Amino acid sequence: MVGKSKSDLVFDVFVYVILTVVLLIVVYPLYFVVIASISDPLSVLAGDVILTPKNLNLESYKMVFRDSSVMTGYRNTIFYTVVGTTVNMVLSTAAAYALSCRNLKGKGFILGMMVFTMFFNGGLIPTFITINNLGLLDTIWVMILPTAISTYNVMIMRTFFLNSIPYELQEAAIVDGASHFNILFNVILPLSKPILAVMVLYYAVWHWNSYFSAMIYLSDHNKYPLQLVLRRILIQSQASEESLIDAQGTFNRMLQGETMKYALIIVASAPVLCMYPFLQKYFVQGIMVGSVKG
Amino acid sequence: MKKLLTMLTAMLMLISVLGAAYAIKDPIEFQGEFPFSEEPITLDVFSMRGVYAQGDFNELECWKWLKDKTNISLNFEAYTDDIIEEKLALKLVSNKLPDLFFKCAMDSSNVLKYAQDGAIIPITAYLEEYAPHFYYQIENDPSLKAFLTMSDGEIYGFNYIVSASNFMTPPVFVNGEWLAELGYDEVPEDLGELKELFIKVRDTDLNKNGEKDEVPLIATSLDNLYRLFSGAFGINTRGRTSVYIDIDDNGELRYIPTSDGYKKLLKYFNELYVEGLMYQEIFDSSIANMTAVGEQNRIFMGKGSQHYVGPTYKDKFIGVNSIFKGPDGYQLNADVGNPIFAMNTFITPENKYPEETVRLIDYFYSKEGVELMFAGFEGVTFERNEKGNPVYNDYVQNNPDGLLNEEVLGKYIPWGGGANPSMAEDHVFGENMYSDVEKAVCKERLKYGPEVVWGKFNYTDEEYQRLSIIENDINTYINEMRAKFITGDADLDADWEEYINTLNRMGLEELFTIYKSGLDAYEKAIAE
Repeated sequence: MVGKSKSDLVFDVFVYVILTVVLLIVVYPLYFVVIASISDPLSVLAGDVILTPKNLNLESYKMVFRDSSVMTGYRNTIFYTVVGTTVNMVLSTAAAYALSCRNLKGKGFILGMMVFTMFFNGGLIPTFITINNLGLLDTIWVMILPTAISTYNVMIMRTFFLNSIPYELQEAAIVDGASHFNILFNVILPLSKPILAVMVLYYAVWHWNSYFSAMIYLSDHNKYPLQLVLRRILIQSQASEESLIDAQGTFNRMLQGETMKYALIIVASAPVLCMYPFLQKYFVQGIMVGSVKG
Repeated sequence: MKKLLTMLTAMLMLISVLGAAYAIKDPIEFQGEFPFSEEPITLDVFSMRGVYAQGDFNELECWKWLKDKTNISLNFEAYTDDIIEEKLALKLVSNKLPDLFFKCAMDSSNVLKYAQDGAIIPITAYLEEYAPHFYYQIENDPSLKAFLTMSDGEIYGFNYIVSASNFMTPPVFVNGEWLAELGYDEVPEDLGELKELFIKVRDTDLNKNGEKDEVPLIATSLDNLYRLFSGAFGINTRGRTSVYIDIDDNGELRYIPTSDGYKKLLKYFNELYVEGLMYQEIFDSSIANMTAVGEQNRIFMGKGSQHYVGPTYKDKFIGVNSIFKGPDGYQLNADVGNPIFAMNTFITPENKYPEETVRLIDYFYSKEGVELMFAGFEGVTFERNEKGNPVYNDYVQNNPDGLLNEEVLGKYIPWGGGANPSMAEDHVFGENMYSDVEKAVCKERLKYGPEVVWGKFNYTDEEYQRLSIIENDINTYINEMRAKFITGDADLDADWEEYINTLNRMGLEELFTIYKSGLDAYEKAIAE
């Protein structure tokens, strides 16, 4: 605090107060999810759970994991995410590199075709019939192959390869006799860690959260991803008007659902949350440090 | 004297009720013989699996038992109700029809559409010979026949019948201790006196927490409260299933939301709401809302299941037998539903064994079939009480793994929540699903129900198309305005005319004509 004028001090205090308020607004809902998930559902409903968990119990987690489809869902989602992201990364990198080469013939046409798919598609039913005719229906590959490439992500990577890596580096490699594979693996990729990290994150989170294609194309419950299982549990815990037919069952399910939904949020998002810190360093790392001099 | 009169009226009503309204009979004992097919056959079935179904739907004990008995095995493709609609639509476009759609509840308009597309076949010709139990109900209840018969004169599906008397009219309950504390023996019938009672509740700290936070009147939705009071204003005289139309005092078809009684009801609700006598979040209330208020010990009177107030104070509540009486002397429990629910089980043209299939489904309408559908197996999931009715046994009620009743049953039977080609009636469902307080109050309130309770009407194809265009907009507008009139955002005297005019501009006249022709068709079908 040495050397700070009074007005600086006031300003600092002001900034800290605002930041603290913003922090609380952001953190409190997350904190509430955690404490609600380990509280008694009736206390949550009655609004007693505000700052600390009430009538601590892990019943909701027990219920989540008692449902065997949650564990199979977990396993499937991890599989779809890991394999899917790998396929995505290999294909996207290959496509983006090829499209960033200056001497690729017909580049404009290929790019045009790819961009076209961003604006127009066949619609749900024709896509379904195509998938059906390809024999992909109700196989695990339907979760991976039809979405093997995201045009948008390829565009981002291509732009990065073109604009952020000086062409002089590639020229230098060509002079040294490097093939396209050499250039890609030894020049481009090592310099593209940040964009690769971003892409991995994009793709992985997308796979982790996706449920719609599973809902349409999968019939076998043992292939359902976690999100679809969670969706079912959540929807089913919402009681409808007609449920007076079986009021006690409806009530119990509503009560279970009340804290189970918080437990589900934690169960479903913990792995993705864990991924961020490991990838985060790439976002802030300087990219081009020292590669080209003046 | 007053009591005598009430009793007389009650008896008269009871007689007329028994005479006309609930023609759905108890299911008859199984008549016919196993097996249903000489040769073993297999059917591909597309089915909804209920919320509580456990494990692989193909492995339910019920199917194994039926296979042994009937020689019919079922091969299921089953989906939960959150995705069944998408799956059903894709099934129909991909031209890979199963032999049977099971537990897939469909509106009559959709049934008609699928019938015209040739995705399902009529079963009319099979019913008398192969479906004795279902046919028995159709024979005895002309309104069931009217509901099932599409505008082309054919019957396409099996429907769900929910005739448990506790379901027909929902329970109403009040905090008995508070009622006594305020010096009342019972809840007053007169709406003016009822309001005075509510004011006392509002102004007395009955739960002694130092705050006047008691909620005199609560339900899980505004619709629920509306139905509790509509009879007192002489509207909804044909029960709750027919929400927007009924018969007025002159015997004419009436559109309720523009009627005088409806306006008076809104006026009453507006007073209750503005003076804080009604749950203030009623417009987006839910079971969870009701439990939240109940757990804070703030509920005085509520409608819905007694379970909804939460376990802590549940036992303080007693049933409300009073049927409310409006300013014009109307006194009726209009909140009585029609037991006839949507069709949910259909045979497709792919099915090579329609006779056998009809016999199999029809089994669920026999007494034994109903027990199988809702209670499972004697000695395994239920035992019989002194009346001979099945009651869930200890394994179900106090499951060692801590499962809910329905979850335990989910391993044995296909019921598991949702619609069924069967009957949720008193001897199984009524016996197991409701508390004694609820049973008593429902039985009492049911006596004051309408003479005739309408079901859903059937329309022709063109009428359905017009309905889908007009009805939705009008109903949305009506609900919007109902909320505004109750909160006071719209004034009942000043804005009422504009409200009627807007409805007329939206096509109310055409809508009413369609309703009228629906009623004509319904009455004609009943008369036949």
